[in-house]
Amino acid sequence: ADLALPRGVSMAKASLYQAGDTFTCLDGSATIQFQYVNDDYCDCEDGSDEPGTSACAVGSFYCANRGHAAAEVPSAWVNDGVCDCCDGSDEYASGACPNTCDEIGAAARARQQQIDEMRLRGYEVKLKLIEEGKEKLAEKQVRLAELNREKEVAEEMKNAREAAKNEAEAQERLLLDAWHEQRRQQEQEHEEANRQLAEETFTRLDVNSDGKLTTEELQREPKLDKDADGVVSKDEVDSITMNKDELEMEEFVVSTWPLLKPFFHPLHVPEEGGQPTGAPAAAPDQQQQEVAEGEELTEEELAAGEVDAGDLVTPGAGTVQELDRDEVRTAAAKQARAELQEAEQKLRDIEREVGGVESFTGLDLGPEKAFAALYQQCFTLENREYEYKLCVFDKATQKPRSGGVETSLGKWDSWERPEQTGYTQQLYNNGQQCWNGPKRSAHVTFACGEETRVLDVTEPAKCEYKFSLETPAVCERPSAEGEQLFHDEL
Amino acid sequence: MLRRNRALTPGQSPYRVSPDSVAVSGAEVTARLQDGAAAGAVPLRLTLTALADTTVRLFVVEETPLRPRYSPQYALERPPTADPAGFKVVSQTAERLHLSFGTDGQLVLSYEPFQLEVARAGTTVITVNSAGLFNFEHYRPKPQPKEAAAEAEGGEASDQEQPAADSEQPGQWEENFKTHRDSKPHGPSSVGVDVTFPGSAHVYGIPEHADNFALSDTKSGEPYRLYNLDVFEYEVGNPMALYGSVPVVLSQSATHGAAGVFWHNAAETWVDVRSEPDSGLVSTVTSYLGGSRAQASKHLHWISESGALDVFLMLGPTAADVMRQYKQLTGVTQLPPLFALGYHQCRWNYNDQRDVAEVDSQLDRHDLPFDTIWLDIEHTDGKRYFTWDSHKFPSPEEMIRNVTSRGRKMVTIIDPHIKRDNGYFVHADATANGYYVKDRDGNDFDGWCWPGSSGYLDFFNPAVQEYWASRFQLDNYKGSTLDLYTWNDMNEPSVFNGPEVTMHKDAQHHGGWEHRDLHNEYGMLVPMATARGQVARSGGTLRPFTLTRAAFAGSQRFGAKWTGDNTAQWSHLKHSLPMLLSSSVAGISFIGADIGGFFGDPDPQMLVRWYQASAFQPFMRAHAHIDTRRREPYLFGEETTRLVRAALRQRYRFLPLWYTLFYENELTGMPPMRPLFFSFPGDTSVYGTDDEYLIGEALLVHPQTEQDGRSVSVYFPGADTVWYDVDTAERFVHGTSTVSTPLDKIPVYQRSGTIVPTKERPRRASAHQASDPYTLTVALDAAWTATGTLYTDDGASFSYKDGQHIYRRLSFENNTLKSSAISGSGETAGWVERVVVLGLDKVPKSVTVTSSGREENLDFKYDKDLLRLVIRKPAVNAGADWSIVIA
Repeated sequence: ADLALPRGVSMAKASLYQAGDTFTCLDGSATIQFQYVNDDYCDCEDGSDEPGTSACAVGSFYCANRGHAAAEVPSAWVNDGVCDCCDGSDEYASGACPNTCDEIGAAARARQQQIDEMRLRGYEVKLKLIEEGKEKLAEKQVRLAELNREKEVAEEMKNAREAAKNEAEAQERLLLDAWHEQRRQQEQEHEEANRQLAEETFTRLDVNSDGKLTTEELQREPKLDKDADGVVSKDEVDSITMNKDELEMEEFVVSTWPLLKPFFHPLHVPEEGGQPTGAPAAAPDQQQQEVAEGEELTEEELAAGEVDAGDLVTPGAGTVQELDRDEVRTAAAKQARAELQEAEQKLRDIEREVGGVESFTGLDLGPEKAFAALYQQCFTLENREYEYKLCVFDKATQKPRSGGVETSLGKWDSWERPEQTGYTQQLYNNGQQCWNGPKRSAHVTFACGEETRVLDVTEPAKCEYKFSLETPAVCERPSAEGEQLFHDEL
Repeated sequence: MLRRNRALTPGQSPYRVSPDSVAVSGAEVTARLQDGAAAGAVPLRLTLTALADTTVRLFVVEETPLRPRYSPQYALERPPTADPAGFKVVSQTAERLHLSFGTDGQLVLSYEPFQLEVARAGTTVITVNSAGLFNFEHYRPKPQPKEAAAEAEGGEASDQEQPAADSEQPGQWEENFKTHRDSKPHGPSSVGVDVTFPGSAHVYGIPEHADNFALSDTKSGEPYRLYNLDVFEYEVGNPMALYGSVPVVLSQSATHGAAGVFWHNAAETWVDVRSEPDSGLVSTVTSYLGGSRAQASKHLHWISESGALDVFLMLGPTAADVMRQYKQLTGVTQLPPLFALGYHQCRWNYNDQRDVAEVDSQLDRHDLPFDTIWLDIEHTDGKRYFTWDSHKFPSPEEMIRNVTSRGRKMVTIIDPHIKRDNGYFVHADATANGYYVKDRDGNDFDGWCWPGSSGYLDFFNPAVQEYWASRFQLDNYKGSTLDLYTWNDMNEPSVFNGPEVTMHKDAQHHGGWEHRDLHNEYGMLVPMATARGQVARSGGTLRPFTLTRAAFAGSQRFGAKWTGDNTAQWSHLKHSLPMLLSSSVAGISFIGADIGGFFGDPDPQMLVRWYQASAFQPFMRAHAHIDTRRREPYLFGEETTRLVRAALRQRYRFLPLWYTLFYENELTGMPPMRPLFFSFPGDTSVYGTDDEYLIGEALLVHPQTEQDGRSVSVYFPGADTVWYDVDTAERFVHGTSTVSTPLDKIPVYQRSGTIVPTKERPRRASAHQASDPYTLTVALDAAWTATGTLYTDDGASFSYKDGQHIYRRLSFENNTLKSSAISGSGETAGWVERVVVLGLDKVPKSVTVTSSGREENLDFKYDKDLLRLVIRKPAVNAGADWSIVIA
């Protein structure tokens, strides 16, 4: 039967090529004389009439490759001068290709055996990895439960402390309110005294008591002789009256008095180039302003202790006011706030750890969670220029060996087409931006090996890296027969 | 100089020929020419030569020049052949000289003003200086500064010559461009003249510009500029100078036929193009010969910064005649090795040997045919050409052998700038031997390029050419093999820190020439010396292959050119067509554009369309900038891979046609890629067409170049012509048809009356097709006739020139298809496996083949809807005489 088989046909298809008068294309598209099979002219659309020649663009040629592995090559590779079948059968026209199947087959078998052994060892390591991963996951689960309990406790603690703080601050608020009220009254008294002084001064200067102050009347006041030349000039007055010829009481009190007052209370006037040294009485307006600001602060801000002295300090003024108020605050409230903060920090720490654990337990760790054991483990490879590092499920980096900063080549993103690649490819992206290029990214490919290591890093396109690793985590159990290379129809 | 020349107003030229100086001798006329308006004008010597094949040369220089004028040394393939019959005087008067020459050429030289008119068969096809823009800035002594002049004894310097009024214009003796200074030691020296094609509305050529094929009028904008420059991210629709400069135009007119003008000057050149309406200046001045009262005409104003005024007038009368006339002057593309017509896989850069092996095997694995893999500058040791990065390419010969083991070749880049590193042998040799171009002070010119500080080899020194050629000896170029070919880039030359990214015009070359004199010619010498080296390394047996970016007239002789650094934009894909057509009609016929666009990232659709267009263009290479994403065609999923595979298969399927056309190009100068008017000169509607073109005479191509383009409007020329879709055999007749273009459609049509050879087996590379059988597709015309040709040889050696080739005429008439020898005594294993006859509107009764005594009935299939007959397996050798009769 073997002898009758047309060239390029496998035993499996032998029955379709039974010698006879006619041959029907395997797709049924035509029936031709049987002598047209393998006559180097393509008659069938599916190429099935020319299994042994290059005549059909779509056909394929079967080489038995006895001693090695059978193969099907495209028809266009038949008699093209390149040895594609180890038995040389594809180049029958020139006969230029010797049969090397025994040699290649033996080498391939030896290699395959090595690979199988390696795979087997790798697979055994993988089983351990899976166990390790399970343990790691279990530990994390345990830890998670622990954390959840701790979290409950911490939440309770936080709530209790919040209540205590609210209580203490309520007390403190009363004192603060009282203090504010007292300040307010003091300010009011100051204001009233000031107005009274102003009005008295107005009345005194209003020599003709017509309820209006004129420039002439002011010129009579010797204290306004700023340049001490013995005369109060019109200019000297104008600088105070803002060039108004006459002033009524209310205008005087509001606008003029603040400018005039220093002439009557020269002690409080800042000397030329001098700093106000304490001068508490000199800045009532300023104090008033500060209190006003202080009162605008919300209770929440006060309660959270977010108002610090700096918020209230204005240039040139001391922190007297704030210190005063701080004295009013109670030690109890301060302590309550500090304790709450501590409780909140603790809760945050726990939540952060929960987040970390959950981002691990929530990961797609591949079949049997084989990658769990590699979680955040880092592997490096040095070449001429760089040290490359891959931290699994975390990041890829490179660092010049000559020193210098580490560059991010990508952060963990996802498995790439796991359904097609069988969980062997990962993407790390959003790395450091390239000059004149994209953000760096790294494609990571895992192949079976006895230990996890980086075999190779390349940059096929600028700023797109390719990490090749081997790891037991992807080793499959070698098939029991171990002979997928040698299956033959025979 | 552009400003000065452009400022001239058309009208009466002040230049006059002295009647008593005119002398006719054989094929040569000499005369004295002088500016009659300028006192003390320097006399010029005018020479007119009648050349073989109805071509006239006009040559003008000073009678006694202060300094010699440069003539390009390498553009002409050999000294032009004078017409052996020479000029014959028809009449000679005090006003003009009337001569005849060749079979039907006439020439009239008018004296006052100077004008030239040439006619063929009674029709004036070119006039020179009819608009009076002739201008010749003769060399003159440099004016002394006023003080210095006063101090000079006797004040002779100022009296010696009265400079023309315009010589006082700024910038004539020194010019600053940005931070660069041009010392202009020889002062103004420009030459210019107007050339008119009466009766023409269409001129083409003067590449390289990213513009329409038919040249646009420039009066409202910048003129076309010819000055080889390395332009970063060039724009389309623009007359700006690019990488190549070929100063030749072709005019096509329905009434006056085709004619051409070759402006033989390598200095910076500008061309203003203007359409003259009816009754313009031209019609009044060029009436002497009569019968040519011009209607509309095309008027070109040529201006060059220096050099002789040297113009070749090629009188046609058809485009094919002009291509042949031009070929006789500057030569023609030599038949490339077959692999060079296949698909080239290139990128800046394939990173290392493993990357090369990976791309090689991936292309194979995805069944994508290709012929070469290229390595850009990063393969070298620090941009030292002729070396390898020893870490990335530790065993180049092994790498090359791996690629060539499946019938392919490799190409490395070799640029003309040389790293100034004393440890680098090329630099050491160049320094020791004085091989570098010199700066204005006589020191080795030092410019910045890829390696940093670089010297530029002075290829105008013949010793440098020899030295360069010798670098390609396998012993000298370590790691190279006979399967490694060469890409010459940056040869404008590109100088990163020079004016306009090129060399200073006052740099000095061998022979005492300034760079300004020969700038446009520099780039051509690099592939010239490279090709010479490649031939020499094989002992003169193997054809060379080079790719160049810079080009000048004559560059076609040395290899392929591409259109430089284009961009991944649809507009760039679209403009590749007019750019390649412009190049083709200017003789640079082995031309292509980077598939996918050099800059930027094409999406899969753009990439596919680019592969499709490029599959039907002369030079087919994919290339990409180092900053782009990888774009090997297998990286975009199965559908894109399938579409690119289909386009590549079309390339390889039609390789027999391409190869035949390149051989015929060597014979005739006819470019393989042609504008429609080459075959349909009577149809003026195609004169402006540049979105479709012809391959040879047989194929019409209209690539889809629009994003998401669902269809294209194809114009099918030829009143009695039928066009057959090469995929489906669908018939189209004269007129415009809308053809739908799904992503897998490349609109290509075979013209009735033609026979096209193809090889239909989808091999991995061209080498594997060597013994493959042919399919002959015979598209019948209305008279049931068709013709074609088939050329083949060993694909690699020069033995084809010794007759070791097969060149056959295929013809169909009287129901018989015949193959007969045109030339060649070579042999081929190729045979005819199939004959497809299109347009056969009757069912044949029988088909019989006859070959060397054998007579045999053949099986056939006839499709009456498609009017298609497929003849099964004639099995005759492609090199033999045979005939097939359809009864």
